[in-house]
Amino acid sequence: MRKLIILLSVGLGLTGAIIFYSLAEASEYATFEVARAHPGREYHVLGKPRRDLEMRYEPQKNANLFTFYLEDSDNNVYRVVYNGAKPRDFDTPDKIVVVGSMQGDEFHARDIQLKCPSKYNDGTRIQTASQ
Amino acid sequence: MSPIPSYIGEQLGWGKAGHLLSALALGSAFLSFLLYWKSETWRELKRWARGAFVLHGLSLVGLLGIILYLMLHHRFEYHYVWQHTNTAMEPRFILSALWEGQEGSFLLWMLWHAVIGILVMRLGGCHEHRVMWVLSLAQTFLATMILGIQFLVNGQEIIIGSDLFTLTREHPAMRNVPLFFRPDYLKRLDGRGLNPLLQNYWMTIHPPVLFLGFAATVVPYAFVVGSLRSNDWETWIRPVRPWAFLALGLLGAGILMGAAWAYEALSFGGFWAWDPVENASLVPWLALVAGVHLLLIPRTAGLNLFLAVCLLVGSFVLVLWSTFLTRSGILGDSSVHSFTDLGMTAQLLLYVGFFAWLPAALILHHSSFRWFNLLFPAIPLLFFGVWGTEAVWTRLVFLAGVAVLIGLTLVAVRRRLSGWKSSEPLLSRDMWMFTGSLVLALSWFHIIHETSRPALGKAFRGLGILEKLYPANYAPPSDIIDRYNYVEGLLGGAILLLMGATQFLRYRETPWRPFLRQMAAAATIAVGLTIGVALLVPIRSKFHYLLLLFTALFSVVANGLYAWKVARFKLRASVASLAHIGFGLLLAGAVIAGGYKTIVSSNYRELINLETLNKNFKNSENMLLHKGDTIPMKDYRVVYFRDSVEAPRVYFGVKFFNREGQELFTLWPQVQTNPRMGDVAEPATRHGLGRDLYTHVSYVDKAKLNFLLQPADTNNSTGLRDIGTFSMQQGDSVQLTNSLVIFSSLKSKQPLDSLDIPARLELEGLFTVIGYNGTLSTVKPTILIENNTFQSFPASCPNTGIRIEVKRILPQERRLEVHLSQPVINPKDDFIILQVILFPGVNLLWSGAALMTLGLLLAAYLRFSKDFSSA
Repeated sequence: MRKLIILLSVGLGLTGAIIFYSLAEASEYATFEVARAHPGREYHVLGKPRRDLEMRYEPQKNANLFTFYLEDSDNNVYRVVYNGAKPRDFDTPDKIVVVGSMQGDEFHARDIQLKCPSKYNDGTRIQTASQ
Repeated sequence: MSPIPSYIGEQLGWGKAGHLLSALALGSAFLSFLLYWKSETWRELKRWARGAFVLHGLSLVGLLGIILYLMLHHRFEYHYVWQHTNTAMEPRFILSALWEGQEGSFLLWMLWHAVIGILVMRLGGCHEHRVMWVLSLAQTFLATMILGIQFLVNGQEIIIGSDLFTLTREHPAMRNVPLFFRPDYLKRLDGRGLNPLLQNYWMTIHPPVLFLGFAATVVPYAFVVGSLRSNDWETWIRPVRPWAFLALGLLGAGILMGAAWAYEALSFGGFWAWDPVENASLVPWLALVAGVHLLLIPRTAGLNLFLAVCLLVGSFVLVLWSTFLTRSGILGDSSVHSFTDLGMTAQLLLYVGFFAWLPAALILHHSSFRWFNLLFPAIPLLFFGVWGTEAVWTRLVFLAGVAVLIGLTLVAVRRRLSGWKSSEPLLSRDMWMFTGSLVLALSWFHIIHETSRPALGKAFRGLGILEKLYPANYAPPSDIIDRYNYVEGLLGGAILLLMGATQFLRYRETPWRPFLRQMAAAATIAVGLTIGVALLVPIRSKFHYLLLLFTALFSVVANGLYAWKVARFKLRASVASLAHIGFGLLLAGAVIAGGYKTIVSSNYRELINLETLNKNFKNSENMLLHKGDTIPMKDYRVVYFRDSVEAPRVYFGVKFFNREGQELFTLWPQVQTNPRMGDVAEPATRHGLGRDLYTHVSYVDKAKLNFLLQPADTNNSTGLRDIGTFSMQQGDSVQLTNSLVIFSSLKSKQPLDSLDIPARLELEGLFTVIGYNGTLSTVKPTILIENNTFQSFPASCPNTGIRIEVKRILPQERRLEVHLSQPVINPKDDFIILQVILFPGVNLLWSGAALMTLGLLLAAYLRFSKDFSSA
């Protein structure tokens, strides 16, 4: 009995440790201004890709570099430098999340999360059969 | 709004039949619950209860038949059919389409519950009625999910469930679409079609197996809860074991099929990413593993038994909680594949809450705290009425209520259960199994806590310190996968060590000396194997991976030794070892594949060095392959040699050679084009015995894809588009859309000695092409005049792709007639960006998975047969 109780308390202690470990680090959804205030710290920024501004992907020069402009929820537009190939369905989604940190006036993204288009498709768009 | 026209061609009878069957399914499930509940005291009712349940099952089969009929016949007047299928879809994906949506997957889940229920009737014996009232109750709740009833409360529209047979034209999002005011709208309507990610054979088999596993977890829960009703903490312990093993085997197979789908069909380059949906299916499995091991201890009692009950109950509640997390939309941005919010959050939460509360309520019912059963629901309800769900007070009172409920239940159990004082020796199987279950419990706690943080953030809004710890706008930390791997790796290592050692321990006391000798033998072999693997796979520096690999191999070796030396390969005694070996191999494979995966496609000739931009950026991972070029990648030489089109899929042929230029194999990674939902790349993998080579096209020029997909016409054979024929004098230029072509000179290749025209004359034109992007190149088409025949050899500009052909020479006018054409795909753009990853040890993982599933199902089978007596 005493052994079980000791084990159980060790288990509870470890549970506490896990909660502590898990809570110690959390990223938050932020805007470019917040990310700018803490350069180098990693943030998730949700925004609209500005397709009217320059989007540059030149795989001949480097297949792992894609740059574009993103407008965050405060309507600030920043250049995003993404380390990776241009996502295949980048031209469809209205909103994307970039994960990375601010370096000077550029946001260096390690990851881009696109909304799965099936989920966010406007249900009212009707396709008609071709006949 | 104009009066509703009478629509042409609709088949509304199916929907009406469907609604009738949905109502019947709900009614018969509830009836079955009532009859089974009563049959505890009134035995004769059992026959009727069975009848009600079978009726319930039949109505579900009817529902399935109707929806499949509608999908196969493209009845787009039904919204579900419209949303998930279209006419272009291949019929073999009809099943994937059925469970793509929430309603369809609820139906699938219910169908499996019905199958499990009928299995319980056959095998449940004297526990049938106990299990079945719980199962019927769970089924009643589920049946409301596809009900789709709307009514008004205080002017607020409340919807219960989401109807499988809503008409497209009556769907809230569609009501005002002009198309639906035309009587003949059906002729013009095509469905939205299935998400391309799901058009894959893994998606046809993975969801049904996974849902079968989910459905099977209800039985252990029902055994416990049904027995708690009669305050029985004993008679169900033996009969529940085979059901738990069955659930473990099915759920495990379902999860691993999901991993296989991710590896074979998704392009994130791996089989496990700690995604919330993956976690949601893993956590119930872990809880059940821990619970069933505690139940294996003979005469389990006291703390052991209570922990086992918690874990079995927890397993089903976690299935429901996962359902809530993935279907309510609460995870929002943190998962790739959660469902759309159908506005059923409250209903789902009620479902979880009720089945989490039920066992506690039954325990309290048999204790002196019976009154709290009334207070617990009443007080929060009162607060909901006064402040509403958003208010801080409501949530505070609710949380306090939950805490008190848990506390009281603990006290009640402590009073009810004897055997808390039994003292196990340190070296006993009981003790070590308890420890193992505790570690497993820690592991699932960690995963579920991490996964639930977005939901907790919403629950704790405005609650001071809790709000600080669980921010409402939480985003998973950037290194979330490493953090999962770190904690789960530590706990997993501990589990594996315990798994290897515990088999050799006897229940109660075990002598130290022989045990240590056996352990030493297993450890020695495992160290040898680990060193062997470390020598075989390329990278040896990752010490923590090697340590984890050692623990996995140790558990494999120790269980193998046990099966050989102790169980002497007798099936019944070694079936546990079989499952353990499977699990050990699975983790060994995962450690090798995950820890030593190598990106083959690392770049070597980048014009822009990314590391100068940011030290964390990498040049590697994606490589550019022009068609026809041979590109060295690590030990391979790779050529992208041709495209092959099977609309809507485009395959890219990639040949692999070894260093010596010997052809090894060809892979065809593909892009599945889908103009509405976005294109999806599907990897192609070369499966080898020891290692897999995984390839995936991460980028293709859109113009190239469009060109490949357009119907074959005259230009396709040459791939050229005419620009025109121009008459040019020296110094003339032609302005094109992308460049300027200047005719500089025309010269003979050999020196001309005399004015006579020689028999053989070779002329070379010199053209300068200035691309508007700033490139400058010289293009030299040649002409050969021999024996009065005129031969022209065109040349192409390497930058713009413009092809120059001299058609005629007009010597009198000192002019050339030049034909210009341009490839539809500029050769510069005729490339793919390819990612190539080497995964060693993947086969170890899959064979481990197969062994484990086999072991678990075999354990279930053996324990179902009556003559089985536990060792």
